[in-house]
Amino acid sequence: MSDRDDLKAFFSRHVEENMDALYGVAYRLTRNAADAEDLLGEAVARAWAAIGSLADRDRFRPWLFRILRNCFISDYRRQSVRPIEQSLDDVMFTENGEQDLAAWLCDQPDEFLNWWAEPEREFYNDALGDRIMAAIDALPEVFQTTVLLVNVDGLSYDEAAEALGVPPGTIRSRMKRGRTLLQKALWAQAVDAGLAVCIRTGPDDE
Amino acid sequence: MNDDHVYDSDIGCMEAINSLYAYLDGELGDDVSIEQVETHLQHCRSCYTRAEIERALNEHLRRGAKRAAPAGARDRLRRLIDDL
Repeated sequence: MSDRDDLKAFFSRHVEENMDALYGVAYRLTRNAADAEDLLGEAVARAWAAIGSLADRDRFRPWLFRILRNCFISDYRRQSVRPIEQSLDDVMFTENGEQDLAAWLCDQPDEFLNWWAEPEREFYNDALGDRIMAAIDALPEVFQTTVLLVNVDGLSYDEAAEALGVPPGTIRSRMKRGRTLLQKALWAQAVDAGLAVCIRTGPDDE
Repeated sequence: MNDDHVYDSDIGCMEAINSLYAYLDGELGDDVSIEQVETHLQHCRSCYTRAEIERALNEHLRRGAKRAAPAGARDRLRRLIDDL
């Protein structure tokens, strides 16, 4: 087998192994199946053309995710009606944003925690699943992509950093911010849906 | 509002929350140890519940957000790679 054949077999195998995850990211970015398929095809073609730049084969996955995202940014983002960067909550861009976030979480009423801890919450699990995905969809893209890469596709923080072209510390920060925004959105949805009215105190308060 | 509970050899709520996501993702660095976070979670009901929420969210994300590539897309991609 020639070097090229060996390389192509490696490439094909790893694209195949990551196809669902890549398609999932492409779909989340483009928000429709046809564009996701086109984006994925473009990314794979570009990846093969640039395969010589892959210094470490063990880093294939983050390398390919990064090409996919770069394809989206260069070819699709301009067409997207969704702004890639959205204005964030006031707690997000302060000079001491990290501490502000932790403070925001600490300040959340135990009502929220108790609502989640309620056994009856199981009753709402199906509806909750839809709400979580709606909340994920509503996240600013930069946080949404990070949360999905880590929590859905299972990339490590290092891999996600490589895929997104940012330092690992930024991934940690984005995870915290993204998940905080997610909690805020879910709580707001719970209140809007009237579910929060069902709250009773937890076992420690009985 | 939750008090910033601190126990012997324990970190506070703020520090625990700051480290919670990295802890749950298995990515905790050297600044705060796994043991410190776990000790705090054992003692602080609010933070423990929050950790449980995040674990549940992780599970929902793992199960709910996965999207399999349609057969047509897979076939198209395989043909594309064959032709490279």
